[in-house]
Amino acid sequence: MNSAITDTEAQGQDITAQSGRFWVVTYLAITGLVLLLMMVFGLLMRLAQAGWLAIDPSLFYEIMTVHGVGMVGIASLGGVAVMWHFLARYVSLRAGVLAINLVLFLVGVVAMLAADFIGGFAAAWTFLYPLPAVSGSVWPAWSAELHLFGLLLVGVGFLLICLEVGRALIAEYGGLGRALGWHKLFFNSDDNVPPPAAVAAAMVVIVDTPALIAGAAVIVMSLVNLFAPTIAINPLLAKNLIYFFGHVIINATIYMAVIAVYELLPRITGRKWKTTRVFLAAWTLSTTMVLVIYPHHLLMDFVMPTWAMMLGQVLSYINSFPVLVVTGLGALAILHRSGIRWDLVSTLLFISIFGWMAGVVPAVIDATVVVNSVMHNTLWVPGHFHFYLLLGLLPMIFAVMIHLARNEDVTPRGGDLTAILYLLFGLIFVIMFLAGGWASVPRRWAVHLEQWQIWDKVASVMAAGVIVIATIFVVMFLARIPGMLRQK
Amino acid sequence: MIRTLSALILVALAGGGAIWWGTGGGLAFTSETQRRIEIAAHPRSLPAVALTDSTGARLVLSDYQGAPLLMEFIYTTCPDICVTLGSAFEQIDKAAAANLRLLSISFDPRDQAEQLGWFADRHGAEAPRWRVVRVPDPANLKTLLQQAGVVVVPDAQGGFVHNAGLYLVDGNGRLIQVFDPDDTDGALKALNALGD
Amino acid sequence: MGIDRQVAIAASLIALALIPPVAAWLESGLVSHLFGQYPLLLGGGALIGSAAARRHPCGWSAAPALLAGLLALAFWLIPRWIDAALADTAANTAKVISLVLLAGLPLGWGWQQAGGVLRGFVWANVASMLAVMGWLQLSVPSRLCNSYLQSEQAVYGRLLVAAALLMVVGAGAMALLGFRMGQKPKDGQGPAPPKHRLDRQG
Repeated sequence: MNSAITDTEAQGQDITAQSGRFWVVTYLAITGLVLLLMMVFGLLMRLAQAGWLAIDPSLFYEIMTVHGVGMVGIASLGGVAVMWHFLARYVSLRAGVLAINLVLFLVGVVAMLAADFIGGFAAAWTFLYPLPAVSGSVWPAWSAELHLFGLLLVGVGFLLICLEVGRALIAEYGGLGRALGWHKLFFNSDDNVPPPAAVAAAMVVIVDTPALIAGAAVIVMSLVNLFAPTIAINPLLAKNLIYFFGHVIINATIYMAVIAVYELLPRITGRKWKTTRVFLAAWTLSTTMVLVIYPHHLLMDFVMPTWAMMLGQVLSYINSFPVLVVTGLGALAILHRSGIRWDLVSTLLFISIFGWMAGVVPAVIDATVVVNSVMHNTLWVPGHFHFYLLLGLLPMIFAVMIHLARNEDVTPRGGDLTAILYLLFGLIFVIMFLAGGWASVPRRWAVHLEQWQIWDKVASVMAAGVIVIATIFVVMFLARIPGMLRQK
Repeated sequence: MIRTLSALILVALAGGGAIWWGTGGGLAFTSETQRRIEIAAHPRSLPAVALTDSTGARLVLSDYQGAPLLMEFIYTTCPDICVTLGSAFEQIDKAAAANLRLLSISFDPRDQAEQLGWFADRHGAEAPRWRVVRVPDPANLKTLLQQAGVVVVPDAQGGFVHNAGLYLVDGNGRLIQVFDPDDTDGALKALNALGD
Repeated sequence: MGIDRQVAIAASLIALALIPPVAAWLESGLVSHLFGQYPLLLGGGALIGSAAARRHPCGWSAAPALLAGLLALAFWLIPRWIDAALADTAANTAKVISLVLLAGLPLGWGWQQAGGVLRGFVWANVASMLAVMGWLQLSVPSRLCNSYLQSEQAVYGRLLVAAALLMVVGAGAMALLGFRMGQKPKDGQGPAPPKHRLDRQG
């Protein structure tokens, strides 16, 4: 390769990196704003359950639908931003795809907001068949169609992201297997070993692509059913497809965001995060298992084949552990005697690892068939996913926002108290869900009995606290945007 | 970029338009729905073919003019759908006005008076209200099936597969509407509307 | 493969699909019609299209061509038009011409020039829509084509779903292994991976 070509290539990559940065910042800004709005929606629901705010139940379910689909959407959007920002250092990504995805995302979001708040669609983000079509005339068919169409657009956008990331990984490493480090894992080859960021990205591509294909199929099937109600869907088939899609998508968001831990902790401590064979084995195991454990959402469906249930239960126990353990231990190994001075970014990252690990525990308990049949329809399950999204995923995204707001300078600057407060409010907030679940408070109920409301009241106060702190983080980021975009 | 985008939009419009046209505006994806939409929009007059019923009596299809007529196309050894058709006629026989006539037409050349009689007995068909007939002349049969849009495909077991339906003919001998075999309510409603 | 040879193969595929006794046999069943005659016509057109694209490349037209091909194919997958092609010679001629020139040719033309992301996008969408079509064949309570038996419709539906699964699994395996199937890189001296191999034409 002669130097002229190398130069143009380097220049081209510079331009790509520049526009990539613009889109990453845009993504994070939208993530922050929508996040705050969705958090307010969440607070409204808790206030209503606490009896402090009168919300019409049909509006409650509209809010619940928007809150659910909105949070999954911005978890994905923020996750993509984090992944893109760090991955772009190792592989050549084309930022145009980010633009196309954002257009599809925004059009989809507008469609869903109109469908839910104007049309009244309120079948939850899981749009379980046949609820969208059988609302008892609470919402018209067009609102269900519009909502599903919006969701389809968002899915198409993320499919493009997956394909672009996959293309870039294959171009750099020669295959997604090699991007998962299989040559090192199985043949102990040190040839172009992928960094942790690439391994995580490869996993996301491998699990998200089939999930999005299944999701598109079941959304189109539901649309066909809405247009031609005589064409029925096998409800069990629909549920399997929806949970395969939904479970994988929400799971993958944390595998995108965790790249922040792999990239930022080493910079803060000055120690490299090595891609060891144990690390690679863990990621390969989790990749395989994420694809097959979704039946743990169907443990109450007695018609499911027993083997699928057993697989769902057993693999759910072990699914998250490989990556969790290598991430947790890896982080501890890097932090151990590193003389780190805690500040906002490092504390957020540390909280995220705690939130992720601890948040998995309630999930594992719920994945046990005997527990599931009494717990799955209680607040226990929202307790689990709020735990690991609020205290696992979000701190990762906040950490990257603040890192960027600080011009990617890792010199400690304090602020860790804010992070501790976030942990405190968030922890008590999710414990209220878990406590409610423990006391068999049903989930997805707009109106709560008086004896349940003590948990709702505490949760409401804590949610308000969480929103205040989250607003501080988001404003810190938004205020620095002009500077971020000027910077080379 | 602009070129690609505008070409994409053009192609989408052209292709979408073709599919829109080809499905009658997103309504008719199968030839069966298409046929029913066409019949409802443009009623078809039926040929005056000669018929023979289960008693051997000879008549002509045009004899039925003057009162509403409901037809179905069957073959007597049919194990499934024609049984549904038969019972649909039984229900309508009980519920419909006195001037309605029912006609079960066999398209199987093997069906003779004897076989038609079995079918009539099985479902309680009694002339003149309900006749079970065959079309002795194959050319006539073909014309009738074609005019009504009935497609008959031999299956592997020596029987037939056919697009079953209830065929409503008005007093002027025009085929005006086709119903699903189990849509007796729809057929009855249309019959009552004709009677008014 | 040389361009002339490619065109010759294309011509023979199309000819094979149209030899009267072969055509009659292929059209006698739903499965042989859609999984036999259609692929022959599409494949013939696609080979011609890709040969043309190799001779006169025109990168910007890849995506519109692929969309055009897919829409033309979708039209001829509508049960009403499958029936029409069987009932009417003019419709059948239109079917053959569209499948070769409006579906196969642009698909080959577009695919030849499409980058990795576009190819993946088309592949993923086709897989998911084939699965939906298969589900429709299996779950619509009546026959969709008047000219074919319900039992065949069920086989056709299952084959569509199987094809969709095969597409996903096949593409997944290809992506996992990249272009280095069977090449086990030796410790420390594996050949450098092909850099930016897929992103040239996108």
